[in-house]
Amino acid sequence: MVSLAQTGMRTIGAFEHLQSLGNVWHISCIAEAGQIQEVTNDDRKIADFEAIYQYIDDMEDTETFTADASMKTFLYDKDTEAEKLAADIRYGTAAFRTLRVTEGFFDAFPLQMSIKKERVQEIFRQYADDDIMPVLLGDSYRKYYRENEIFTDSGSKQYRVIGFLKKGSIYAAPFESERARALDRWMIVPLGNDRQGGGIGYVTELTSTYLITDREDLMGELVREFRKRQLMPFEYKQLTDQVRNDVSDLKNEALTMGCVMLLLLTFATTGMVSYMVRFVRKRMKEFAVHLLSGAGIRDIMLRIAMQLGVILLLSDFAVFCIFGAGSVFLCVLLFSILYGVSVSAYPLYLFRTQEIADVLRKNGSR
Amino acid sequence: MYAIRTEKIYRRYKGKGFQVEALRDVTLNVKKGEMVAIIGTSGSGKTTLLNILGLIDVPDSGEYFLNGIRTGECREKELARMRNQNLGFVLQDFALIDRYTAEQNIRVPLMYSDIPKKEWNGRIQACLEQMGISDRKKRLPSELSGGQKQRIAIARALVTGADIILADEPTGALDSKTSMDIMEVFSGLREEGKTILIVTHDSSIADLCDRLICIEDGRLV
Ligand SMILES: Nc1ncnc2c1ncn2[C@@H]1O[C@H](COP(=O)(O)OP(=O)(O)OP(=O)(O)O)[C@@H](O)[C@H]1O
Ligand SMILES: [Mg+2]
Repeated sequence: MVSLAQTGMRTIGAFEHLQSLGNVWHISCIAEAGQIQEVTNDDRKIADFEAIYQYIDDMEDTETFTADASMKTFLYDKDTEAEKLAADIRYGTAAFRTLRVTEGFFDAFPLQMSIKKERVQEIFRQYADDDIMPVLLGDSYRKYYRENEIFTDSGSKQYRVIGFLKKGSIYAAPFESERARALDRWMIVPLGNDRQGGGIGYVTELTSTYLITDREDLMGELVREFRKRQLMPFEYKQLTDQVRNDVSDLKNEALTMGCVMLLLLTFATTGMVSYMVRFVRKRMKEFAVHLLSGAGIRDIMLRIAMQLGVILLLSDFAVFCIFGAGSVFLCVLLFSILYGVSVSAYPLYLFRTQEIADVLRKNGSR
Repeated sequence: MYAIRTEKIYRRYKGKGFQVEALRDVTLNVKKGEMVAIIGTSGSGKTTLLNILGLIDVPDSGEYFLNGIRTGECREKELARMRNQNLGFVLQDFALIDRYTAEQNIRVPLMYSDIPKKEWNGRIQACLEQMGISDRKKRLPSELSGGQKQRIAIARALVTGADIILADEPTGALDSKTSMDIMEVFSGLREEGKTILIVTHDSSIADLCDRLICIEDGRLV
């Protein structure tokens, strides 16, 4: 629950950051399948696609970034110890989730990394097709790889680990099918200009590209540029509203979840308190006997508190087994102590206000 | 030296729209080793007095000295210690813990005393033998007769070496034969030098005591 809330908070944070940068635009292809094939099979169009890229790069007052999650990195599973983290293992090859990005990605989505953002952007910018591919790894990979370690994929391409993401990093993209991706098991590599598969690679890449600008007229010009070069028709769409909606959706979700949790907590608390009250009532005579025999009020209070303490400790232990001794466990432990104190307050008060003599009178026939 | 000395004790119960003067101007001296009977009609304040003497209730005014100690100035912790070491309670309904065996019931006061753990079993055994019920130590109260239960209650009162026994109608739930047996136990304890206060309605029991104290409407007469 705590980690879910953390993810929610981070997602909202990421969206709000994106919103603060300006209007977000996305270009999509509105051609029919046949038309796309026609264009992408035509090698002469490659120069036009290249020109479009240059055009986008040169657009004024506009930030762009590309983030494509559609490809995976394949490693022979006999060569990799990290195969547990793979999305898929088939025929001796492990497929790892991979995000291909341009350096602008790191401005749009500030991630905490073991290496400076500017340095990553520099490395990603300088990467050329025949180089060793720089790769940023999610936190879960720390167990298997070291910084600067070089590994080879099943296509003999070499990768160098340039750094790791902080545990719990997310890629919260409002325009992606999955709103927030936990990046712990992801690899992040530069997009490069290795447009695999010819023309279709360009289309994939263009549709994974986002533009951030407050000038709608520039977007119109971009679409005209597509038309001028007789590429298939593209249209642009503003995503800012969607981001805004998503943020408010998320907040509503969080609110709903909070309410449900509050409700559950209320039920649990009512149950706990009435259980404790019943416990105190049932044991009242017993406590009185202890008091007669020389117990202090404090000894009895301790007995009552222990009753609840055992239950809470058991649940803490369960959390410890599931999450280990992390921040989640610490939070739960702290909460359970506070919770225990507040839940036992009423039964303890009940006991405190009962004079010992009264207790004995109520139970005895004196 | 008095085991128990009170000076002008008052105790009122206030409720919604009523006020009861349960004890008025009670001045009482009990010497060490005395066996005293407290008699009075129902509602006259006997239990209230015994509860105050037993340090589980406090007077609204007046002084109470236990073995010469001014109890009004003691803290809860010290009162608890005195209940543990100096006082033993025996009640009409036995006040045994139903889910504990005889032995475990007798152990309760030891848990709050300074007596080292290794002496506990010896003490429990000695008390059980003194009460003549060592063969019943593993039984639950529900498996025992009224007389046996009361013997366990007395054993519990004695196990930490208390020198004052406060008994509130200890024979109230017993037949006359068993009552006399229990009274013999109390007489035996008096021989040992214990101070004993017994609240009773039964004149034949009162006759066995050194002295009679009569309460009427919260006053000693
Ligand atoms: N907690 C209380 N609240 C109000 N009144 C009380 C309370 N306890 C006792 N009383 C009243 O104080 C008076 C003395 O009560 P107490 O129990 O001392 O009498 P008692 O002599 O022990 O009677 P019995 O022989 O029936 O046991 C009674 O009138 C009783 O109603
Ligand atoms: Mg009474």
